[in-house]
Amino acid sequence: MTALLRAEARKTLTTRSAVLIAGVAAAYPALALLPALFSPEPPDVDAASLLQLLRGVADVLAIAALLLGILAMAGEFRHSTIVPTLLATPRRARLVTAKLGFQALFAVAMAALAMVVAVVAGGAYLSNNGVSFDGAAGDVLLTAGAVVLVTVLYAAIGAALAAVVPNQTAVVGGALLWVFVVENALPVVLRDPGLDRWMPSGAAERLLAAADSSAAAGDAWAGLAVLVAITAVLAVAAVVVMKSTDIS
Amino acid sequence: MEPIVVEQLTKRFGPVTAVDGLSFTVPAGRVTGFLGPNGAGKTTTLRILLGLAHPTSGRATFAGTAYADLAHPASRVGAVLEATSFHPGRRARDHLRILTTAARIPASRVDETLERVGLAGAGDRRVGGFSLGMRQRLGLAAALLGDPEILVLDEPTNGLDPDGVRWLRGLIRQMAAEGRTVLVSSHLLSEVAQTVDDVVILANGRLVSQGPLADVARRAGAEFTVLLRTPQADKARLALGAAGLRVTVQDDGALVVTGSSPDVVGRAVADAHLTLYEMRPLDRTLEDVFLQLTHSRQGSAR
Repeated sequence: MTALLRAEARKTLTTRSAVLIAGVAAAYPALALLPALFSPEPPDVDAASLLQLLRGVADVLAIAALLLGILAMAGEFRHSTIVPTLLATPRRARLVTAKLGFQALFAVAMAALAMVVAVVAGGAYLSNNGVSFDGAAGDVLLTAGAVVLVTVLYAAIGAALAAVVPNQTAVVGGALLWVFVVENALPVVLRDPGLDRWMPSGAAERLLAAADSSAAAGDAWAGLAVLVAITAVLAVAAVVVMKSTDIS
Repeated sequence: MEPIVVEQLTKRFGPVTAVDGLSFTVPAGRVTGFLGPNGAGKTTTLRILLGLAHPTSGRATFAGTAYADLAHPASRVGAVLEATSFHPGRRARDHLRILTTAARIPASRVDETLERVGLAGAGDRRVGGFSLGMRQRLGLAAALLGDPEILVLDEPTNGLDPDGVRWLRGLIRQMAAEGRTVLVSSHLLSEVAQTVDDVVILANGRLVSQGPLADVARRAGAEFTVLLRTPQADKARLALGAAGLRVTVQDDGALVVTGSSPDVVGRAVADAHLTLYEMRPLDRTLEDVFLQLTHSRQGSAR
């Protein structure tokens, strides 16, 4: 499995679009502060602003990880590299495992780097505005950890989703439609606001609120459980579909 | 057991039967041409053999072992299926490094194979800028990475210029001289006739003929076509017909007897005391044999 993970690493790192997406996502916390830096209005910030920045970055990281996972798997079909890939690794379950595994590891690196950028850039911004903060405080570490977890699970979801629907245009379009439209619209259309709890973004939101004192006890764990369950179901579906698909 | 064994292989895509009860073997250390017109089922058979597609029934194995169950598949079997299986933004060397990493092949093989296929100077170029011929060569480099004892090549001359085709023929003969088993598909017998020892000929997903090329051609020769010119065309047609020969009349009045060798036709002519102006077997190239074999099967399937 180590060899397969290394092969997947080489694929991702030799794909310019993947490196670009990950680089922009990791730098995003610093970019997100630019409007505030140039704003003529006096900033309304306090120590909790850092947690808000971390949670805000999570949305971008999750979508970047979702796209990276999709591109890693659907790209194999789009460019027909799935043929040499399967000739080198004919056991498809191992290939899917390696693909999901490396995308998860890549997401850890991207999200961890983004968290460091967020704490350093956000911390500098807060200090400049006279707000004292502790970058290693429990709530900061807890939130950063939750952001990394959400990013990792979205990366795996993306790769698994693309194994089930290997058409790159369809799966990217479908995933973005789901994230930006369906997840918001479905609870409204079905008149069931609680439905949100069972969907990826709702589950991620609860997980990201792990350090929020107003959140209900166990809510973060419940969010994590829903996200893990969605990932696991899609991963199993990915293996089943990959094993039964004829590569043409 | 032979290195490649296909047993009662059938593959259906909905109502279409692409491969229909196909059985053949490929002997060790020889170059076997896998021939048939477009749509005969060659690529489908090779994809099943390489574990990329699932058979509806039957098996295609390497000496009894499915490709996915081989211990080190890339070191046993090298395959080239299409010239477009590359990420255009990736450098040629990176493409091969990914494969050596996944298949646990020494990285030193990357430069060795690039050298062997004539791409030593192009290893750091992105594949998007490669010609079709260069992509074919890169595909061959990928197939050779594991120094495999069996090579499976699907239409490898596609996109190659005449120099490239000659180079490929040399490479295939060299592989065979090294004791490797080569299965090379083509829809043109003339393309591989100079390279192959044996042929497996398909039409409509079924086996038409198999064996050493010379034997297959000789067997097909039983269907020789003989042309006759005689001033007694009507009498000749009746006499040859009565002798059980198939006779057709050309626009210019010449008679064409199919399905019988010249000696059989000659005897029938003598028995009927016919006057002849001309009698000769029509020239038959290997391609004619191939077309006859595949078309008769296609015709019978319609």
